[in-house]
Amino acid sequence: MIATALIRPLQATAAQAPHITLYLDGQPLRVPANANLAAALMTHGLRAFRHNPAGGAPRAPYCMMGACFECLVEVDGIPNTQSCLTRVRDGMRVRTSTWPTDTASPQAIGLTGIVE
Amino acid sequence: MNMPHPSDHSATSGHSGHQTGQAPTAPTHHAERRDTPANASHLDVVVIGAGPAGMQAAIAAAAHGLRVRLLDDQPEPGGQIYRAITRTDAMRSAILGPDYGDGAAMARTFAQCGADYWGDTAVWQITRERQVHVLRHGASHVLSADHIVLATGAMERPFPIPGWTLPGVMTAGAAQILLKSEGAVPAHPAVLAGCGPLLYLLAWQYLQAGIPIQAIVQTTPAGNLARALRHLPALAAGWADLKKGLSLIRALKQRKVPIHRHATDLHITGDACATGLQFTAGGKRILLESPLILLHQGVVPNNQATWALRARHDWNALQHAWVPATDDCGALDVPGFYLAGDGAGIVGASTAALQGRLAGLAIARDSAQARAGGQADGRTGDQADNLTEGRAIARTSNRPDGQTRSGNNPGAAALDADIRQLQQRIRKQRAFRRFLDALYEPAGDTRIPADDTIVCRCENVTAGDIRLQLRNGSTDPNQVKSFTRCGMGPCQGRQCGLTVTELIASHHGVPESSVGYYRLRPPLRPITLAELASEQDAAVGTAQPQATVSAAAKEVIPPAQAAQADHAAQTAQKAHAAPDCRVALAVHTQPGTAQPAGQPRHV
Repeated sequence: MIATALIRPLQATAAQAPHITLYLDGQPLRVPANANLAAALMTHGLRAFRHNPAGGAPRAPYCMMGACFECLVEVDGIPNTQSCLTRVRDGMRVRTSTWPTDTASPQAIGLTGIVE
Repeated sequence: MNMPHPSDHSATSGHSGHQTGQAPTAPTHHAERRDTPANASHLDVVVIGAGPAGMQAAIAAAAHGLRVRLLDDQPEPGGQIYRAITRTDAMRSAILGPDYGDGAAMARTFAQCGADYWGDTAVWQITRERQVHVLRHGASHVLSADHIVLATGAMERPFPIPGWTLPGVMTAGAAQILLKSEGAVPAHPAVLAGCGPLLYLLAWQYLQAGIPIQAIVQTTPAGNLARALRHLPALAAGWADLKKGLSLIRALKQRKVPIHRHATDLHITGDACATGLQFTAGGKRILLESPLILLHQGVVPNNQATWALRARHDWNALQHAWVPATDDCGALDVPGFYLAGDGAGIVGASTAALQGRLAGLAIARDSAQARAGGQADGRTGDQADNLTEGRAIARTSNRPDGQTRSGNNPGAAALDADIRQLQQRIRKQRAFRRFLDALYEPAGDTRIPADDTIVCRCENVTAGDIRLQLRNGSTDPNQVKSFTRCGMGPCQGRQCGLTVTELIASHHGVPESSVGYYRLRPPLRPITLAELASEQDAAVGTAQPQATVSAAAKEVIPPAQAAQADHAAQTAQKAHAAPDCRVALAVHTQPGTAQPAGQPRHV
């Protein structure tokens, strides 16, 4: 969900730096060239990056250093990419929350029945 | 596997190999600098991590003519503490403070030292025989090394409180990375909660940047200062650091930043995302509204590599963390491995730099002695034996009376002296560290959570789920993992491992050292099937035959399914899968399903 962003650029001059276009769930987004992908998405206002496979709760970046695996998004077709370890590229296609809605049986993905 | 002797280095780019039988010439910085070729697949030294420890280890080893490659998962050197130092600007530098600026000179020295730097490189497996498997630019490569320095640093201690998994909750370290690397700051008045110097440093940095702070919520228990003062004699060593810390806190008070002390029962409010932080302090229940809450209760060593190597770890009761066992040069109990920096026990940047240099010099000494003594004594075969012998020789040469075994070699004597001096400085700095550890010892209720709190973020396992298994007879983290999947997710226990060890110890009333930790297996970082199948020697032109796995085979393999993935990759190669045939890997096993994870399925 897009809401008021949690973070913002420190400098007002950030708007004048070179920008590129990436696609977030199909929508074009202008972000600073070479920006950290997770940071760029958060600056844009993205809150939930994905849903936890065990239970479906919304999740977002926590550690920003590759240790928590909460910032996972699909980048250019590769799922489960850590956005905090990814730099943006012009034309990059980012998809959020694609899992578990696009895979096989509910049993396989643990949506039916709670494991006690 | 037949490991080459250091003198066997073949020239892949015209550089001459080491001369057998010669010790490094003295003084060490006059040794001929030899740039490490970027395409070499065997190195004298592989350093993992580009923070102060890693950079200094590389600099020291390269200065002794060793071929060094430094592997870094970031795009530029600096680690976390000096993250983005090579491209920071004056404004950011001023906000971050002088300690950050120190990293710039170190990064420049590293860039010029002759070591080869591989950035954007994820190390996914390290073997005890010193093979290093890395993922770089979409392909997997194998390197081998005579010595490996693990300088992978620290990570944030988990902060399991109700609601900590909600979007909008991040660590103070994450906030600092956003500031250093992206020049990004909170859009609303910041709420910082927990304990430890980083919390105050971040608050001070935000004030420098003009960012309002809603409040600092300190969870430091009431008795800590009194307990810390028992380490008072050690204070003399760290007086400068202490003054720095006190002036930070004074600055915060001067700016009238609200500080709530001895807070307990922390709870993040919100359903779909964080809306605030609730806690008890001064006898009152307080709610601070904020969509962003920054948590921090210290850092702990990042031990993924050392656990996967089956190295010995000891429980540090003051730091509440596992620390790999090392000797006085930082050598691990696995031959050829050295540890330096926070990964060997939290010591801070300045001590990390000293430990890095110590590891680099110890390796230089090992190498020199292996060259000088190894062949003469008729030692053959396993390089690991040579290195163990070399280290034993090094220790006996490090005698307090100043006598060295290689006393007639001035170069070796200078090296020994350098090493002894470093060890002395490190000992002094670590003594002061005990005061900080005691002062900032995190509270029990933010380390060992109540039943309704999530412990394993990846698999959504609560403390109550774990305690159920403990009541049913489980006694160690691997049993708990089997029954609950706690620790089986992609983070591989980084966010839950310490909590589980402490929870089990506390529940059963046994020491943490007897509880142990998860049994970790590679990959240490996720790797796709296609990347795995493409693994080739790092030397150009010696690629293994590519598996005919189609580009659609992009299933990411979480660490728990590693062994099956490896098998699957080999099976796919042997089965000569048709190019348009998608080889899929079942990545989630559910109890009761007939299909075991890891069998390649032609879809």
